[in-house]
Amino acid sequence: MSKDRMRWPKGKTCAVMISVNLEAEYFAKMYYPDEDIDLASGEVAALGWECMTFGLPKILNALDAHGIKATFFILAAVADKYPEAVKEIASKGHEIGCHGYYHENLALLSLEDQRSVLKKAKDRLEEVCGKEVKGFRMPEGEMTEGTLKIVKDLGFNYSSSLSDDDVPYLREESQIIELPIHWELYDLPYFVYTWDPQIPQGQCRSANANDVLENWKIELEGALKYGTLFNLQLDPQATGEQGRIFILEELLDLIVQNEDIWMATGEEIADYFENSQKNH
Amino acid sequence: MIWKNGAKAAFALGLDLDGRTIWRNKAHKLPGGQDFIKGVSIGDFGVKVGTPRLLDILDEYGLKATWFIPAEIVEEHPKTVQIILARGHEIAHHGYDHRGNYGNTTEEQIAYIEKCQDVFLKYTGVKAKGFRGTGSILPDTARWLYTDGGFVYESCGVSGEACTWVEVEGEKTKAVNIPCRDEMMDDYMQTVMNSYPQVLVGMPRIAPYRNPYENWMNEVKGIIRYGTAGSPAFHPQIAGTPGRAIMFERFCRYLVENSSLWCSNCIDLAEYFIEHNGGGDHE
Repeated sequence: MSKDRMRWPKGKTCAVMISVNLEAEYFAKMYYPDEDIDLASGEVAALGWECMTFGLPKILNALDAHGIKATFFILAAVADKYPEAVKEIASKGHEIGCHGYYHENLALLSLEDQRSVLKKAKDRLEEVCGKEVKGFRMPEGEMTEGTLKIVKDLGFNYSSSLSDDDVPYLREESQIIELPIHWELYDLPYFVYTWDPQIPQGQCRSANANDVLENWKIELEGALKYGTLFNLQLDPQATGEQGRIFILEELLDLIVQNEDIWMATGEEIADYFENSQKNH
Repeated sequence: MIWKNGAKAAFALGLDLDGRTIWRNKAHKLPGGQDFIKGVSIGDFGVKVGTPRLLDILDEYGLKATWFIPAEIVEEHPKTVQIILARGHEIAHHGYDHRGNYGNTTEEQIAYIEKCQDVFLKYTGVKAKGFRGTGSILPDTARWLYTDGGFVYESCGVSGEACTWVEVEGEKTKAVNIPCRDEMMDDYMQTVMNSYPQVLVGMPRIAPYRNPYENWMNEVKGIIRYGTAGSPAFHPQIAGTPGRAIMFERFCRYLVENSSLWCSNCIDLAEYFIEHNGGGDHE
């Protein structure tokens, strides 16, 4: 009953997409989605500043050094506060995707409000980066099929938010392409830590970067074995930190040396998938 | 005891095919949760991708496993369940929708368990003989399960370390206990993650994959050392991701290459125990 193996361009075995969730201080909304927590001061604000000031340049350098174009899912609020950084990312040829405006927990908004906030976010990001924004990644929280219908309506070409597959697929109800993600390939939940507010709430100890790299290498081995999409999610405050950036560099070393891997942006993968469906 | 082929210990691979049930149960506690699609997508992965991937690995190593499946998943994915059976595996009882509450009285609990058996019968032609509870049951329900209820074994969370007769209030039944120690043998608790709702609560880090992997092997070593038997709880939604499937495969190789171990599914293990221990006649 094995699923048909995904065919990738140029006979490649699997695909790798490096994505960056650029959230600055809004990362805290993943841990406190429904609470009005202070983002403007204390450790949360400090990590937001760390993300943009120290983490982002190292991530960009590592991508440049490996000749990799990544996909940056950016909050419009981050584009408001750091327009120059967003322009720089775009000018380096990386794809700009949308991660909401203020990291809304979309499922808790009316459909009208979702439409309005996602439209504003898309418009704002396009205004700042000067390019069309085609990719959507749900701000961590929840959404409904109605959200994806709105996303499709607003002219997004794909979503990269759900976990029910590990290759691209077409979401039947909303007719939008999904590029699945999985938590184990997201750096932030392994590393983030603040005392006040408690993040994570369980005050669990931060992971060993070597262990995280090992998990990622095993998942990459699996992606090569099963022909799947290895969709890495990075928050610059996590992997962009000086004692951890090496794990991205080592992983990218492996990836660029492997000729069986197709390295692509979300937009390229979605376009490829769409065309392969048409020709089917 | 000496297990089949002279093995020192027995091991029955167990997989909990929970699908979206556990995610739906959590989401329903949140406002509008019945329409949420993120959490349930993690569960759906197990049916859509994890199951076929793990079935292939089991075939490759010639292992027959027991799949504990909520009846609701059987109703929603009958073809998947038929394929699991056709590939030579056992399916066993895991509640209707993975709720923790089986009912407030023995009658309610028996009716709930029977409702699932009806689903098994309707879609597969057989009833479950094994029981892995998703919540606790009353002593009278347990007595019924292992007598008139027709269940031959149970393999639940914390149930000691001995593969022996299930006891209800100190009294032996005719059914066999196959221990399944969560913190050693449950991959879900080691590497599951979600933020809304938080799974696990407090959002502990996803473990380095080698940690649960080494625990599986350590538990098997313990089972061999003490000459008992056990069953793990692998979740296709967890064990089926590309990297974790690599770890699952390594573990399967470890099992089949271990000459001290008899690997079987739960029902064969339980029946072997019964046959070699007087048939459950405790008189």
